[in-house]
Amino acid sequence: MVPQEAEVVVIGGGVVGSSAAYFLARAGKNVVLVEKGCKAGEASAANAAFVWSITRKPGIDIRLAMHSFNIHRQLKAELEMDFEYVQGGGMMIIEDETQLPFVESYLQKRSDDGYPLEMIDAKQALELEPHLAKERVFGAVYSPIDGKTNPIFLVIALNLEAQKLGAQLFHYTEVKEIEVTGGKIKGVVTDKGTIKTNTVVNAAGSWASFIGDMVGIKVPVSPFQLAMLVTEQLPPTVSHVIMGASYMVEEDTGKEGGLGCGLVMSQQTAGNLLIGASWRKTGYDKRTIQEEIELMAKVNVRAMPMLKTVRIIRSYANFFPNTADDLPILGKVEGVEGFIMASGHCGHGIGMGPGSGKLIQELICDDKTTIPLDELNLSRFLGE
Amino acid sequence: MKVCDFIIIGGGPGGIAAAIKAAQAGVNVTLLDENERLGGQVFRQLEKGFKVADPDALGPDFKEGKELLHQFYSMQDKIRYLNNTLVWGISEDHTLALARNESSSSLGFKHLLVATGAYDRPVPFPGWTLPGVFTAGGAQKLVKSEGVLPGQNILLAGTGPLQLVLADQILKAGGRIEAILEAGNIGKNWLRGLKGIWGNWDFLKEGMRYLRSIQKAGVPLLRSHVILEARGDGHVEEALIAKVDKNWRPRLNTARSVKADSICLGYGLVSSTELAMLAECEHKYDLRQGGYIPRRKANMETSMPGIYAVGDGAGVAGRKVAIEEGCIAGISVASALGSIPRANAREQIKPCRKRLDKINRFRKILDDISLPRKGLYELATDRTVICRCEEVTLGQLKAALADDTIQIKDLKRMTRLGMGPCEGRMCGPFVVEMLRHRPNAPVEDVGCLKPRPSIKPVALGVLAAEKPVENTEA
Amino acid sequence: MSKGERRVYQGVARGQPFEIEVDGEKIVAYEGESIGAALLAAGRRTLRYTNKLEQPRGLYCGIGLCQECRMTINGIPNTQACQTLATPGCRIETQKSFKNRES
Repeated sequence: MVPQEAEVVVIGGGVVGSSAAYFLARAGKNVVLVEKGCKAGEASAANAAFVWSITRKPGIDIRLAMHSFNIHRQLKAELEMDFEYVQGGGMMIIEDETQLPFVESYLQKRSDDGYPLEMIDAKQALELEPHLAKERVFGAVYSPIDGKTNPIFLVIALNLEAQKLGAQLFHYTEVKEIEVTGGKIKGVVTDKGTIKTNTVVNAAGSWASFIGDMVGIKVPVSPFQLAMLVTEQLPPTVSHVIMGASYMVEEDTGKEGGLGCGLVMSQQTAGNLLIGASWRKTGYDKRTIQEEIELMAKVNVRAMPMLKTVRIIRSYANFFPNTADDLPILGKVEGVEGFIMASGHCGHGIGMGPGSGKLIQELICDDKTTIPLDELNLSRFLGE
Repeated sequence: MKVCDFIIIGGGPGGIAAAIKAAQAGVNVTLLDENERLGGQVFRQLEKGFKVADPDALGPDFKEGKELLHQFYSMQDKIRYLNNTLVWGISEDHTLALARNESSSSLGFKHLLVATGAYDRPVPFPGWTLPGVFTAGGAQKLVKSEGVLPGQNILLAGTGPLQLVLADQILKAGGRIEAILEAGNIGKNWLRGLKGIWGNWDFLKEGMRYLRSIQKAGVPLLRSHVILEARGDGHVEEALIAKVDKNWRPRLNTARSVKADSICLGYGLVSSTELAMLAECEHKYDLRQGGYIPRRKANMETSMPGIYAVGDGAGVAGRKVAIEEGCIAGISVASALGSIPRANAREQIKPCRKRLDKINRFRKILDDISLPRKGLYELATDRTVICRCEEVTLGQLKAALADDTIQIKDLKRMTRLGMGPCEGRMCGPFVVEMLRHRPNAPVEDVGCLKPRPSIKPVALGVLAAEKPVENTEA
Repeated sequence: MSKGERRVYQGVARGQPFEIEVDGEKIVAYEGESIGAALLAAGRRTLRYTNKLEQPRGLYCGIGLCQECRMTINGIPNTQACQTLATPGCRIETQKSFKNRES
């Protein structure tokens, strides 16, 4: 049974919701988190595990990312459970010369915005990652502060600490209705009881639109399937988080078309490589298909030939909560007092989620945030 | 992509029997098996270069297997047999993902029979991961098919008749058995068992033969005994054993140490249901039959139309049941494809079902004796590794449980249980039982470690390889 | 059966024996034997050490499911000894923990 009331109800037990619940509990709020599924959430348990900044676009995107890096570091110190966060450096590999103009133009924009990125040549890139196929490396964009984490442990760590601070977490608990009277949140009705509250955080990721419907607002977040492969444990093989420039170049086209794929690779502390990634529109179908598994294998073996004899031990897939402008929706909502948006992280949830949670806590507690959230407000989609 | 009328996955007794019946009815059958040779576990054939002077020494099941295989091989015009073929995935549009000849390909089916067999139930206890601890199935393969004994002073521990078969094989091979521990109290139930044996004289004869050979060799058969601990410096050197009560809980004042350099564990089998689960067939949990098993109709069809399941992979019941079920499935598919009229199919199935009923009467007695009792799930201590791959201990699982997790999926997320290359096969069965019997919060439906492609590890080079050209596929 | 011997000879006919190398040491194997069986026959039961706790592991399920028999065979790590037939001159290494190693 859920408690009869709470100061804040956070809907969604992934990284964003869990971070919000943790920081709110830390700030002394009586917070209840409800998650319809199991621990560690959906996309938060099935992603590339990157905490990175290379492909964060100029403007609010990169500012949010940088802020979130600080929060990751803060959490590393504050959370008892080790979530294996390592800033080992990140590389975006330029796989063929045709990608150069796109990348150079991107680097210029980042530099103009005050967040320059370093370009290294092929020789340097191969020194950093000697297993990469020489003929597929023309250079790389390098960022020493980028890295990886264990996303499942990150969420579990946040949950455990939040509970220690008095937060109550309910899994396998589905929100059925949200009570709104006179434009104000009154309570959350779940399948395990009703919680009286005036503040609700919509951290439901790819399901954020369903929560929005419950208060009569349109939340334009839609699921976009991303799949990855897990290899068996290996000795230290890959020390950076690696993305192929094709991922950035093709990600946009892939969204419209059928099956897209771009190189993504990193090594977890336990030794498994998380490699991928493929994407396609599947509604809410999490099943991985033969075609995408084989495509990911091709792309990764081509990039790193020693992977030929390495075995995958499973595949996984979940959904990026996608928004039209690739930016999350954070902040209050006009017309529904107490309803706070915290969804739509477009596949950057692990990197940006912890920071988002902190900002939501600031918004709720102080009505003032370290990074102004105006650009990220839901209202930017009004009239669409 | 090629679409086959009838694909059978698994070349054990169930799969082979189904192939024969379907082929006899005029169906074009494709049988896929992941091993080099047919036979599955129980009818395992010998590797090239390895010959046995007296095949009868391999047991009546080997002879039976040979006859069945002979029939199978004689029907090659109707049965396309692909060995060394791993089915690593299955999709809802009736397509199988295959790994074969170092490359990955697809094969479609109209009807599918999953006959993937079973594997030894993993039972964690202190020291079970020490080198020198084998499953009975693994030990049997070593002795029968490769002529290597697991050790020079072997302790058998487990329950049920399969242990006796292994013991007999070890003795015939000249091995020395320290003792055989039978967790159940077969003494008392033996008389009850006789009632169910009427008409099953084969079983009785077989069973008596094994018991006689064990007695003759002077091997102690200790009823109501389990192994508590395997001990040794880096490998098995001795075992701690004890008498148990009717719930298989040890009477600690009977605990004593025995010398052994290897331990073979035979606590029954667990069905391999990965493909049926991946195919989204409905499953139910029945510990007596090996854990999660697919729901089936009388004709062996699962809840997914066109997908059938037989044999130990659909409920542990032994090779004779597998053969009869295989026959029923083969005939049913033939009927579904219109190769034989339905009335004909019904007639053919009748004697199979009669034999099945007869066998099942006897099996029920044996299963009652060998149904794992609570005590078996209490042998592990906090330091015992439960997930062998990820080295997760019972203590770590219990700490996670304190957080009121209620599904095995949550334990997986919190501890990495089931995230290793065995893909949950070695830890899943124990943890499901453990969760179902949590003292303060037992949960009936704890879920399972959901299989995902690839259901067995497959090399990236295989997945990335150029696909075989259509018409070169054997 | 002589002391230390695990191979069954009575009533068994094997193909030709040949040499395989394990951790630099030469041992005998026969056609039709898996590497796991050949090593067991030579008295070698520890096939690897686990990554996290560096525990010794060897053959367990024998049928390719438990993944405990992973060894580095002919330079390729994580190869199952129970599923790989011994071939003349094959090089086998007891797989150590990956923890502090370069690949």
